[in-house]
Amino acid sequence: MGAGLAPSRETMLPPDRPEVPVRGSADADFHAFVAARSPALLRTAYLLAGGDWALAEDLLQVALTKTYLAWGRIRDQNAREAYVRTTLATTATSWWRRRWHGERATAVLPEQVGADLGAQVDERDALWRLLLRLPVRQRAVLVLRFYEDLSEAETARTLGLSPGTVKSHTSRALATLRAELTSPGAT
Amino acid sequence: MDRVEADLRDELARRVAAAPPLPHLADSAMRRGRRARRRRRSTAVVACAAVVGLALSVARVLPGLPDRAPDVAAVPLEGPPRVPLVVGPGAAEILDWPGGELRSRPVAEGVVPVAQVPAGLLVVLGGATPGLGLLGPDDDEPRTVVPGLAGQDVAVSDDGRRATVVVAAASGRRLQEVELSSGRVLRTVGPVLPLAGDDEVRPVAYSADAVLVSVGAGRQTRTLLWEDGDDAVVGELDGVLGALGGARAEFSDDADAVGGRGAFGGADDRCATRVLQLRNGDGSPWALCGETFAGFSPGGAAVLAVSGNETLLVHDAEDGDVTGSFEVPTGVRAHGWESDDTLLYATPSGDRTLVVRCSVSRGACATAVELPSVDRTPQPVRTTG
Repeated sequence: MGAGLAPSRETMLPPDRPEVPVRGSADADFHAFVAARSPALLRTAYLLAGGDWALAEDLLQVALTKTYLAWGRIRDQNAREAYVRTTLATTATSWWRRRWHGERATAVLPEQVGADLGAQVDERDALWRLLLRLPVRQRAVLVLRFYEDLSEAETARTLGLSPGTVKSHTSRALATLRAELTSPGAT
Repeated sequence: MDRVEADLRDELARRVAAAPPLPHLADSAMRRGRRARRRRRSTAVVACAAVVGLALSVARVLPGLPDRAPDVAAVPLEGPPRVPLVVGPGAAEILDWPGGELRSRPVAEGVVPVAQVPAGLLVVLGGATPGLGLLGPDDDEPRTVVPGLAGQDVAVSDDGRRATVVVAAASGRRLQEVELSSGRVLRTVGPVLPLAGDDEVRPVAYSADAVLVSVGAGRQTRTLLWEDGDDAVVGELDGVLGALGGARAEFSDDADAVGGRGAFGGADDRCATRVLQLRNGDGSPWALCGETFAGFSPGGAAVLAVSGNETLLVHDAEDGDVTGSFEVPTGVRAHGWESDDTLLYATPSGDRTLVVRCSVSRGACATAVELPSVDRTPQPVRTTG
């Protein structure tokens, strides 16, 4: 078959429609919610999952399945995203109880950087690596506080912790980052 | 906001800038959700019948979970222990203080109390019919719940309602989880790999949704998880927790950490007792170097350890920071948690044995009770539920 006769990639893919017929308005609502919010939720999952897109996708899938099962009970539309976020955080925490991961091979080598940008990039990478080394609950607190911009009270509700515990996790995590970043050879 | 916080915000935002697209995510979640609903419906029918059948017997024996110990800040340091003490050697006598008065109960030879569960029942091993038994508050002889154990190890769940033991069967050893109140077998597994062969199999601890099972010995020990709902022991804790075993292992109450003595790859023998943070992404544990793990506090926030029989140390379970230290120049003979804030230890004093209560938050200790004789050691019983 000549190259010119091959169907384009677009025509080989199934049409972008639900694989399972949408049943009822609740399912349609869920579908619309996921379509609108999944990119943002995936980003949060990525940070909670320790910087692994594949793991983040699994995490989000599990969280959305749990959310779907509870969908009928979550009447407040504003509470839906909070529910998914809570499920993401608690699921991520429980996963780390079962498995932890040491060094991971990476398929892509880090980009080479110019000498003038090197120090800055090194410092950022050091910060990222330190973040991944934090206990998963501390990391979840930082993600919710500094990425999602949640207040201490909102973070506490999301993680099912007391505000005091959120405060101490935040303080401990930041203290660890500061101490490590200022120690000799941190970067 | 300082520089680290600002850098953190920037770095988190930068890292997620290249999120990949995720088509059909909703459909997949809905499919999984429907499957889960079907499974729930089918199991609910079976569970409903089981619950109705068990409800009365459970209610008779375990009338309800007692509250945790009251707020200890207001509790005086003096006064009788709030957990029973087993007096050894040979665990021949149990001391408790119902209504504030000392009561001593002899127990049959070979009966070893393992834990106190709700309603004042003691889970025991051994006895006239060797096996796992329950000793009621007013009983002299335990009631056998599971006869024919193929080992002397038992893990008791945190709510005190379930236990996992290894039993001998014609086809080989089986791991069995039982309802303590009735002896009813809740689930069983084996004899298949990894339970086959001659390796020692020991149920050692409960997490929220699994039983930790140690198979093998020494550095060849594997640490497996028998997860709720599974008909095989397949889960295995990765990383440095490859060989947890030894005399004692416990999960913290929230199952975020496990502590115990084991043979860890590359571990300094002096630091072989470790507390492993299961929620710590990089798997790095903190070690108890030169100290012996002696159990998580009931709430799981603290770890009691002993150093050289003369120092009791309390560590923050999360990072190992020492939050309390109690010197006992006369030597610690036995020790254990009484509540989240108080611990008990026994030490000789002249011709008597003192049972001393220490408050971690107050950093103070006082004699709880004095017992005649120094020949027998009163050991606080682990309390669950």
